[in-house]
Amino acid sequence: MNKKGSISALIRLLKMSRGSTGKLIFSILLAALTSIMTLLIPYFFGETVDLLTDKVDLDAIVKNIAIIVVLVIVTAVLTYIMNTLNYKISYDTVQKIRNAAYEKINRLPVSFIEKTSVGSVESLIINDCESISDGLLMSLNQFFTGVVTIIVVFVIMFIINWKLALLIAVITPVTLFITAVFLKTINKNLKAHSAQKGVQAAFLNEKIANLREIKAYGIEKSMDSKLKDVDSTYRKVAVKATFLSSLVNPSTRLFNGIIYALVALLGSLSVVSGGMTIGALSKLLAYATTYMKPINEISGVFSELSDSLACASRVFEFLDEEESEALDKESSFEFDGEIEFKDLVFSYDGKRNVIDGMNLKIPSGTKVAIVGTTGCGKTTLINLLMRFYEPCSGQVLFDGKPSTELSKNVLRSNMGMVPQDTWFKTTTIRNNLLYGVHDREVSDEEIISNSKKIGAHSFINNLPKKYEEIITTKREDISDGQRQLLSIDRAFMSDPKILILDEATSSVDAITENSITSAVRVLCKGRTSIIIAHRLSTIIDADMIVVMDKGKIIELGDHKTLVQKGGYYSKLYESFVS
Amino acid sequence: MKFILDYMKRYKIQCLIGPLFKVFEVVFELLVPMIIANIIDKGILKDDTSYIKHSVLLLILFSIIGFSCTLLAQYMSAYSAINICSDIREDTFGKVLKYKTLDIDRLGTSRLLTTLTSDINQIQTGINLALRLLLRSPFVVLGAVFMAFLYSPKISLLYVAVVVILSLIIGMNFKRSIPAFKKVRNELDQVVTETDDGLTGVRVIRGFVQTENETKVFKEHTDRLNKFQKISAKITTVLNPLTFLTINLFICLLIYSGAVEVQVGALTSGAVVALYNYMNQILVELIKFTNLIIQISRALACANRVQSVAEKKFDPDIEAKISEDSLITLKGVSFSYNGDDNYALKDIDLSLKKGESLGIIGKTGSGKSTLGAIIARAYDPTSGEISCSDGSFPTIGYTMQKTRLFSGTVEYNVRLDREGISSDDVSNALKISCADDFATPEKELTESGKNLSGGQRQRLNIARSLASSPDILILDDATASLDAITENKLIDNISKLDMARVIISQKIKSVKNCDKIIVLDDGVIVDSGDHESLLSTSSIYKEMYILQTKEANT
Repeated sequence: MNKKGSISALIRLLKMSRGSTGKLIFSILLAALTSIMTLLIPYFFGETVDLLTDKVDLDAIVKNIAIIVVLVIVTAVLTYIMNTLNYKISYDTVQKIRNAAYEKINRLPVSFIEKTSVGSVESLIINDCESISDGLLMSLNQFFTGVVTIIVVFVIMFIINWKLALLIAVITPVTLFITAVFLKTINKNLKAHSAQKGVQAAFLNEKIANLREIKAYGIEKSMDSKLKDVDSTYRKVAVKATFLSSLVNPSTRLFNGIIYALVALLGSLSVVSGGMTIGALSKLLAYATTYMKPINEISGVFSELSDSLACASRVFEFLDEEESEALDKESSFEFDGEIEFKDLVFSYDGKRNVIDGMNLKIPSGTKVAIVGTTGCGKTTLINLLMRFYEPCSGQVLFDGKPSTELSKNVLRSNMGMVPQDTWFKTTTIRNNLLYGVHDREVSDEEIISNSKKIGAHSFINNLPKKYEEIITTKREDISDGQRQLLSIDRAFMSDPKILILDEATSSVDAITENSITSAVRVLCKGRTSIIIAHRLSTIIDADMIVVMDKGKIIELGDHKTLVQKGGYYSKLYESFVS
Repeated sequence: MKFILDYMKRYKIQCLIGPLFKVFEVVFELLVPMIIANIIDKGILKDDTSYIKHSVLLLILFSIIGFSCTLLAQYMSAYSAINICSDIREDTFGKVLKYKTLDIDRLGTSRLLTTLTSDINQIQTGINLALRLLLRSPFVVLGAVFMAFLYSPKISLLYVAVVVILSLIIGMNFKRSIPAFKKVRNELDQVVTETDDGLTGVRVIRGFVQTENETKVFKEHTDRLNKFQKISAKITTVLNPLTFLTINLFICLLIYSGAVEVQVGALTSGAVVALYNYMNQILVELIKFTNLIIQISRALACANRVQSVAEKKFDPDIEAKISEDSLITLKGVSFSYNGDDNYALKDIDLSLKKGESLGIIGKTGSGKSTLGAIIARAYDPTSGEISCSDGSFPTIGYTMQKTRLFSGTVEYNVRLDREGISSDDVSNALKISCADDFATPEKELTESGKNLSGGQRQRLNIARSLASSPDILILDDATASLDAITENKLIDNISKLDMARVIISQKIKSVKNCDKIIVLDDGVIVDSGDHESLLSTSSIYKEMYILQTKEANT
């Protein structure tokens, strides 16, 4: 990430945590205060050591100890307050960003969401947000503590013995430079390490997911040796990276040790020549080691900071994606149920028209079946009807009104949808069935009687908690057929004016198929229904069959007329009954 | 535990050198305060500058020797941890590849994946830390107490007290933080579920105008997460100031009692400085040690999970009996998924000859697919026997309904590293499976073949089974996602093949041309025969036929 991007991400982040600005400043002040106080403790200890001469002045020592006790207690309390504050800032900020990201999901175009992998958005909302709060706010804090510590230490050392302080000031840049070079090497190795780890994870991911296939085709041996290949590179890279990164602390200790020894030498000699006291030496020794730590930490802060800013700009990039679900004006719309496609054209990529000049009028209460080969534009039609996408040109008219003039929410609340891939929210069956019901209390009796009409009641009733059973989209003990029944039941409960049904292609046995067919019949009764049909029974039932090919209507009519016509439809019909 | 130790034995020397040199490192660290004390007492107070110079040289020398010990120890630890875990990973993966399909189904692939990746990574971190710190930390703490004892047995009691109190504080805090942390994790899982639902259900959520409501629910969850996080933070935030307070108050006590001792001449001032330094070393190591214990207990839990995967026992492979003329014969075969009385298949008798086609039909849950898996040798029968013409199992091309493809070319996906499949075999297989109109052998597939439609994937799947020209081709509902016209063409192509075929379906249309059809119901063969005879003898078959043709003719 470039510098400019980092800075703008930082500014935006600070803006987002605006509610916490006061706390942030307070926390930084506390950080400065506590680090100064922590540093005063060795100072007073040194003062005390000077009192340990041949004639020990216990009273003076007790006085010093009292000062230390007060310092320690105040520091402990302030540290507690500061940490609590930091956690609060960081948790509140992450919550704010998470909520914003979730709201964003709801405003993004369907196409964007379906194109993006679920895992990557999830990791954005869970992990990236976490790194922002942890990394950024903690490192800001560490940075200030570090800077304050370094300054205070040098000031105190200067007061104690300016010559030694100067010496340390000269050595420091040298050790810093060595550390920086070293860190660079480590980072390079760590990057190689995580890349190799990624290769390994991707390998295992695919092979384990396809384990049944590997067994079915007997290719275990080649997989086994492939992992060994992947692993042999991993071993080398990982040992190197792990070893090098475990050297950061020991090397700091080595530098510390050498500086410590130098201070000990020069300090002792100075004490001998009467330049300072033993207590002052003890102070110097204590400070000589404390100042290295923040210097190392600060270099760590920068890499952590750039990591979390990278996360932040990923999140912001997501938050800046173009939205489709602008807030329309809410207007109520009493809907009769007539739909018309007028010169409708749509293309996903701007090159190939998936819907290519379609004209069709569907009178209120008509049941329409749309058939055609894969890629003929059937699903796109639903996307346009539901306004998941907008037409490139032409219009979809509801009761003669262009869809774009109606609020999406009002339009959609008049429609009931049964999608091809059934989806349920992770909650009770009851809540799922009531998913499309708005502003209306529904009694248990109504839910049960509706489910009976659809034919879903008997299996729901057999579940341990009946309607209170938690279901998820992936729950495996509910069969495909039962899922479809639930999905139909859900649409039925919402009592829509227009029904949109994208029939599932997954195969179910004849008896289940039969119950789904009758459920669909119940559902469609008295509504304008648009069905992307794969089941012959649904097709034959329809008032109007629309045969599509390459985005155009090639045949139109009811079953009888179309069979007699002897075109594509009659061929399709034959393949069903043969 | 023994599982890990066994692997550690492979790297015995490295595993011993690591901790040993960590102990050397500690010895040199513990000597530093003593040398400083001597500098003060014997050098400064006695104006002996050459003693000071020698001591400082010693200090530098010790730092360097200490660092060299560390270098060696860290390298050995990293080397052993990574190699041990790579060994574990490879061995476990090898073992998983030998798993029976039934065991894979029972355990679930996601569990296997976590075991091979994150569980083993945790073990790696655990071993690396344990080798470095398990000996070091206690050694530093005890060493500091011991050095204090050397200076003043009386004052060393303070050290014992501080170690006990700090251990208690750290331990209790740790214990309290676990349940709080668990709550945070659970709520975070809820947020993940909500996010997941919000993304996968985008159409339904918008279709039913539920976005506002969903946002409200999401915010309720993040509110709760925020609350739990703050509770958990309250517990952990206390730790730092509390340990800081404790250690420093003890330092005050130490200085005071040190001063008293100096007053009576029992201690030198240099010794007090040394004692002060030892006190400071204790805190850092105790905190490191607690973290270490957490990491090790996590690693051990992971090790148990890995062990259960790696050391899983399974039944020996069954052997084929010799039968006279059929490719494969099942006699009295029963099968239960859990090995209990809950049979998915009961007493199945069937045989398949060369070139013959067998249809298996039945409702969902009738045991069709299970029977297919037994013929394909993916599952072993729980009881009963299987016999084959020359006593060895025939080769099988097994096409399941849900099959996943690999990233790579079409050709790779059809050939799959199997020997003896020529390019001609591949293109021929593509032709038979009606896949040649969308898939050239060079076409690249993305991960799991996501750039193909469901029907296209199914056709590639069939091509894959056909390519090796197996003795028996099994199609388990393998054409369910195809459109009716392509499906008919494919069924037609398959019926012209001369290998034995097993067609499993719930559609009469798919099986009606088979030489023999068996009707399964609740795990039992209820009827068998050809299409015509079943229409008159089998009530289930007839019922299915009527339902499916009625649907076609209403």
